[in-house]
Amino acid sequence: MFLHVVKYRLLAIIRDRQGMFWMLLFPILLTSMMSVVMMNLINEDMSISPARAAIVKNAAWNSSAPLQDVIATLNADEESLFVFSPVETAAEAEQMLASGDVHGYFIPDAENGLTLHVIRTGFPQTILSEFMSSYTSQARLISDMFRTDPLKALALAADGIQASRLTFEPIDPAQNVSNPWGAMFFTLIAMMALYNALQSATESTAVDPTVYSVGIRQRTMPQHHISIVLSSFAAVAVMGLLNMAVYLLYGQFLLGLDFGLTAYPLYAAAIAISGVFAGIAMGFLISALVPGKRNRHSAVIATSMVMVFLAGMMVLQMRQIVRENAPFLKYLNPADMITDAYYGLLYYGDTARAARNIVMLLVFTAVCLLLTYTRIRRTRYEHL
Amino acid sequence: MNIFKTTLRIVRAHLAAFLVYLALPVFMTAMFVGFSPAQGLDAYQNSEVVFAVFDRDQSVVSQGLIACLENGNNRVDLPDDRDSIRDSLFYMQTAYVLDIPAGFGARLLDPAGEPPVLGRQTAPDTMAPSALDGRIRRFVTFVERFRDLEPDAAPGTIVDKALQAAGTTGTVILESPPDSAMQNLPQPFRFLAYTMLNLSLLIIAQTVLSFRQRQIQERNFVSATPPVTINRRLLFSVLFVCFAAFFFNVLPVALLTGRTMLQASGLLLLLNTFCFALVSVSLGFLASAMFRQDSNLSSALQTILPLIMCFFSGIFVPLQFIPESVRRIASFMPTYWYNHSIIAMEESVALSPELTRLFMRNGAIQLSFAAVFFAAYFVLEFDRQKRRKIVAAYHS
Repeated sequence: MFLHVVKYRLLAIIRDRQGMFWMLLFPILLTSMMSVVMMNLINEDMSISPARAAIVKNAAWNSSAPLQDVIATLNADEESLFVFSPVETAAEAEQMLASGDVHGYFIPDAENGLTLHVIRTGFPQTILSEFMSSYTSQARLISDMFRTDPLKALALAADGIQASRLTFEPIDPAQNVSNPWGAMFFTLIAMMALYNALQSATESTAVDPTVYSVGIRQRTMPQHHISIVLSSFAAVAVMGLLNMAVYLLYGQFLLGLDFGLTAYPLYAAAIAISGVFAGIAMGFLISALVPGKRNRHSAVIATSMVMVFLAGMMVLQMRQIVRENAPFLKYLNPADMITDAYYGLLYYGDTARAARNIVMLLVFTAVCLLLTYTRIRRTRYEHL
Repeated sequence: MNIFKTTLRIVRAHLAAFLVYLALPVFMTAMFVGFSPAQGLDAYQNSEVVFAVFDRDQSVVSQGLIACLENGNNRVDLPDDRDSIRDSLFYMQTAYVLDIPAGFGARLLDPAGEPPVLGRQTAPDTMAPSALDGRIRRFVTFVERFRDLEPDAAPGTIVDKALQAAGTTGTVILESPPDSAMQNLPQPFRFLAYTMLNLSLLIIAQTVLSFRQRQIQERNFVSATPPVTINRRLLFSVLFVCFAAFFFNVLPVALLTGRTMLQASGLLLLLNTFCFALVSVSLGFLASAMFRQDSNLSSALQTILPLIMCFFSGIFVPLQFIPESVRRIASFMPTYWYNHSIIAMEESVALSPELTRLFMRNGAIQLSFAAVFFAAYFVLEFDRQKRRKIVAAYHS
């Protein structure tokens, strides 16, 4: 009986063209569109672009050989954070600043070292300002030293402005994130999984004796309530898993996105499966709580969209903002669990984190199904 | 009045979606206004770098280094666990995590010993860490210099002198301080394009489709009110509800941004939004005329069309990252010109005649789009009305 019901519910789902659009075609369309639009962003080398500055070749510049050396050294260094363009007049530098060719311009000054001119604040300007502070403070130290100990001053000047032996080492060698934007696609997988809740809502409505005659027939069968819920769950799950498989394969192999199918196939599949289960169970729970077909669909769409938004679909940082301000939400939001699992797995190879999220998704599924069962198990219909 | 009430009832049936689109701008405005730098900047300030430090050395040198970094930057506490550090950096809540290992101070103060090493991890996609790197190197260089110049000095004295020297800053002149309104206002307006398109499609398409249901149409045919009057009332009802929705869309942005909205740049943005409101309404009508009775197609369109237009036009993703070919396609969409004005304002330092002209030009382009959409709608509707009259004559 169980398999019989599953088979016919599955047929009903396949014939629901609108449902299939939302469950499969819409996520595929959205992902294709995002991948086209964001391809530059995803493939871009996010290495830091240098801060650009003009420097005016006035009398102070001509008389300051150390400054010319520093600028020449920094310009020659390919990994330098600065690109300096020496110009003849201040007006020329001003023109470059106004047209956005440079972030700022320096005017050498025999008394104060350098003066930086900018028209806005930002990190390029901050870096230029830090450079100027370094140069000015070193120059001041050396000029003070000349008064007391010229030999030591000469030795200092010979060292250059930053002659430290300091080296930096990465704290977390596993972290090699050059570009965070790919994480937006994890929220799309989460959306795809949660959209199964729509099908759950349709299924719940289809077997509701107050709405359809099929529901009346099912309720008069010698079958336990939990069995009815589970057969619907199984039908939606089969379809949901097939859709998810098509989606992941399309994204990974046709769009060239990394969904972990080659590097971590088992974990990637386990996250997707548990995500689909969580979406379906969430749909059943919402359907048990909200009466009426239209209200159920609205509630499912609103809940899913809020969840994927909080998981960072539209604003990447949203996930972290939520985690800092309302950490308990991560246990209630399956979209966040799915995103977190893929993020940990694909950016850091953190299988433990992925496994933790898979368990949380399965617990979420079990809790939702249990709540659904407790909600519908005592339902009696007067007309049956 | 009945048609107006019916329009409101249809909107009420989609209240959840309606409220989501009204709430989204409030949220985005609160976020951008809350996170944006202090307003009214009239002197140059370095950008703050958000950083966290794990000091395992606890020496005078490490504390001096932290004091040097805290000057002008924002130090935050972070749990000392791998996941927290990763998340905080990945999602750009922290730009820099510094780990000062035990023995760092001793190494730095020993010219013959091993070179000092610092652990650090930086956020991707930001220049902020470079500024902090420069500061650290400056402090360390000065400690090494004072160590070499005064070999007998106590570590505290060396650190004090290094802090003093590293604190020396040059002069930065901020030429023409930027208009604070132009820095904070444009961002929330960008997302209005998405919500306005959705609202207009939701209200217009749903209402018009409801009125096109066969039974309702038949009822209207036998009504004493002429069809032209019904259509006119429907048009005005829908327009009224749409513009009321847009008003409630823009109102929270205006309230949250305060008086800056009344400055010239705010008024220009409002004008740009008004032009786009006309585009949204015209597009809603056109969609309702194209997908006459197919509610499935209409609801699919309501979801997909705003997404496509907003994605391609750089509403969700910065326009500079969008491929040139996509941008070329996007220039045939009104959202592109709406966003183009907003980007121009973001990139400008102060309001200029060029910027005003650009707003006017882009506004005119948007109005042209609206005119084309309205014209197409009227052509389709006129054709439909004509055919309906023929059918009605046949049945009578």
